[in-house]
Amino acid sequence: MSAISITGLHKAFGAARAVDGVDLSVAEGEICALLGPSGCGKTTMLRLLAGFEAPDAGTIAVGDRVVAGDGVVVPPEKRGIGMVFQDYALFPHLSVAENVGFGLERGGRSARVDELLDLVGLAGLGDRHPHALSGGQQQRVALARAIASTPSLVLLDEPFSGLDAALRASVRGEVRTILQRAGVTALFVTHDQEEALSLADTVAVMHAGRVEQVGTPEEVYGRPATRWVATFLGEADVLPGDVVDGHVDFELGRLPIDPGFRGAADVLVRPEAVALSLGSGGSGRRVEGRVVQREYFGHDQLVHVELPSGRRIRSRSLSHPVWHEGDRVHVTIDGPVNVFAGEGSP
Amino acid sequence: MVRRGAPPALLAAAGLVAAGAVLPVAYLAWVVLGDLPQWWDTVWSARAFELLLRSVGLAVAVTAATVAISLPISWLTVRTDLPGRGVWSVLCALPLVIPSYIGAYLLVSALGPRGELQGVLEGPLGIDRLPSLYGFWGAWLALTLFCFPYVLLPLQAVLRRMDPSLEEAARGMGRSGWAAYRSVVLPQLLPAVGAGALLVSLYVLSDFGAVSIMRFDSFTRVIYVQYQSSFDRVGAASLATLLVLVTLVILWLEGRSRRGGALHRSAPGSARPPRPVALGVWRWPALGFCALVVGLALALPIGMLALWTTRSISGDVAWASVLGAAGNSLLAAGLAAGVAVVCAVPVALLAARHRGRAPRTIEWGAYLGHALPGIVVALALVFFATRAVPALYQTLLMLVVALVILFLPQAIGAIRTAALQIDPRLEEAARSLGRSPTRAFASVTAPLLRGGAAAGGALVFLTAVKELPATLILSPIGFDTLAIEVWRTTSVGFYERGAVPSLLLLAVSAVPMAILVLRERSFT
Ligand SMILES: Nc1ncnc2c1ncn2[C@@H]1O[C@H](COP(=O)(O)OP(=O)(O)OP(=O)(O)O)[C@@H](O)[C@H]1O
Ligand SMILES: [Mg+2]
Repeated sequence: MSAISITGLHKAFGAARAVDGVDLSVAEGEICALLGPSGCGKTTMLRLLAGFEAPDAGTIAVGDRVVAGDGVVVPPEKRGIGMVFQDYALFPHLSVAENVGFGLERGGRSARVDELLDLVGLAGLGDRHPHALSGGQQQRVALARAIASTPSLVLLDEPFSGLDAALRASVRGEVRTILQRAGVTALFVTHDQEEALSLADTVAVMHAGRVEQVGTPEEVYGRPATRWVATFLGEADVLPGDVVDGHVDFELGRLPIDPGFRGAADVLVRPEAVALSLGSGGSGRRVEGRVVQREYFGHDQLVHVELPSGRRIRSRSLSHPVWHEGDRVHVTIDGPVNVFAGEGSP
Repeated sequence: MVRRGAPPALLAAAGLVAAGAVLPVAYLAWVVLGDLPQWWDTVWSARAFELLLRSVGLAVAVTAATVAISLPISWLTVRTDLPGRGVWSVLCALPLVIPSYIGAYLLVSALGPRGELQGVLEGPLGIDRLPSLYGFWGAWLALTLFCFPYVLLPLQAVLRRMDPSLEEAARGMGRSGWAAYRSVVLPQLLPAVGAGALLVSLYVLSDFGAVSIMRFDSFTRVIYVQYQSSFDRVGAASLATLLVLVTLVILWLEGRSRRGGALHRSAPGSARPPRPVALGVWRWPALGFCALVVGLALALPIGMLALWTTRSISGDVAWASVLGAAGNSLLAAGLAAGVAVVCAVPVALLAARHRGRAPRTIEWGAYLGHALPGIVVALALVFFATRAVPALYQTLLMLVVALVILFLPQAIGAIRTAALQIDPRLEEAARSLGRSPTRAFASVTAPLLRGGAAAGGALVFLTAVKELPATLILSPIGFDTLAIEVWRTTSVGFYERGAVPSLLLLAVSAVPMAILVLRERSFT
């Protein structure tokens, strides 16, 4: 059974269609990322789920209970959904323990609070007030508060955006562990693709009020359903090609891909699928290019190569060998590429 | 973080408050305009025209004088090396806490006919007649002396924040100090001058105490006299509507002038403390000017009060009635503060969190009473009660309602500031943790509003306790407050008997107010 099933969801603010026909379901116990650029309607989706906004059309079911749609709008306090707000929204006049215990029944509250503080690694800090905590600690309090009454679903709005980059990576892992141990379904919103891909079991990519693709991180990255998803998630260069007889022909060779159409095509190539080498070797068509720029990142490098046609393509590889501007290199495809019906030459 | 649709319950509560604030005045207008020919007869008469000229004339003269005093003092205390400028600027803010009727009474008792000054001059010099203080110039002097801080304080605030580099640039381009002031500083001060002038002119139009004690027939005094001679209440009400019209015209003019656009510091964050201008020998006349103003507006009234108090205490003071009056003052002002805070919360929340026509209209309605003279609101309530709810007439509740209508905006302002600092997500967080809207409000928002509510309640209390005209008209028979006691004795020349109640009034209203003002100043 799905933990969340959303069908045909619409929500407009005046002329702005913030959510414009979304279908989405999230399986129980799963961590799902709602990923999209700023303004695509992610926060609105969460607020619709939590019950702070009422949909214009469509239904939302949590478990097997319809919470919005068919003329029903269940108020937030009756939905049993935990929420972690972007800026945490901790109650400044209450202690950490009181914050965590806010949604609990009086009886047995303190035992549960201790258990939760233990779970999020804040045992002993229950008497502090939120302003006396670091950003990462505040976030864990918010998380503990949201899962305190064992909701079936937890929503997290940009949970890591308030933390600095160094902290983010470590907190991400902790949050995943906490959510898994608590055994809840989680839906979190982010515009950071790395965050979505590394943390989630499923990623739903949103664009302009719609969900463009839902899948595992590997699926949405490796087999993007639309050209927009392909370019939003990670880097990609577009080369014109031609689909004939179950093959695609383009400047870097012929690949056995059958996209299900014939004729003009756009081939999206990710930098890590482009290999560079010196001299001869390898089979198939050999294409020679010239290095025009190199960006060095320490653990890897991004090399810009000009192809004979004058088009440029990027190649990502480990730091060796070191390429220099002006080097002549052989360019081969060494990894998956994606082919979409052509929009004409770029 | 502004949500679009306001919750219906909040809208309803705030709407109710605004309707309550507007209702009596609307009723007054309806009654008066119901008999349009008579209204027209009253309003379109030589007498009404003369009243208009007197009141507007007084407002213009006082406003001009307060600006003329405040411009040099603000510059001297903020931008120059005037000796003791910190002390001068505190002393210059203090006259604000002297209620105009107490100030006027102390001035009259000092400078008026048969006053102390004449007593001093009579012996050695044989001067037995001073020019009479009563009338226009007496009212002008009293109101100028006790209102000029309304202009001075915003001017000082702007001067402190003003980017000195503009003035330096002007001087660098060869302008003299005065020319730089006129071309660069003065234009930036104009919005603050306008705001202060608006406050002063509204204050003068609504003032009842000073003009009555100075026996100057302005709108409020004539309305009161006519109301007292109770056969002509409709006449009094007609004049009151004319006064409301004048008030609205002033508000409208000010609103129009404000649309001129804002003046900003040239680069944000460039607020260096400016180097003070060296006054040189000019510091002697500057000190003399400050001393004259502070002497008249502060030292003279305080000295007179001390004098009358010692004389009064060495005689016999009717302590029972004075203390009874003090208790009544505390009761009425305390109730007003409590009710005002409760009424202000929904309006403040609405104003802080929601945009749109309905919230704006409600806020405007709740502020209406503040712009109206106390005597008009009191008269409106008398009409409303006697004709629509007779059970309300002559009750303490009526007085409390009037005070709330008059001073509600002070509570709204303070609570709104506190509400703006509360993230609306907090209430949503409480909802998602299982609390109903009311319980979420009670457990999260209400505790966080407490500080603002306390500040707002204190402000309402401090202004309500010294309010005169509405208290005079609406107090139930036998319910005397300190303000009434002061007015009753001093308006007929019993200066000694007014001293102790005045002192008590200053103690309960002025001392906390002075602390508030000084604390605020130390923040800026
Ligand atoms: N209360 C509102 N009133 C009017 N328009 C709104 C409101 N809330 C959202 N919108 C509009 O709806 C669209 C989607 O907003 P939403 O906040 O859901 O985006 P988002 O994906 O969360 O963006 P971000 O990553 O910047 O937080 C935007 O165009 C926004 O301007
Ligand atoms: Mg958002």
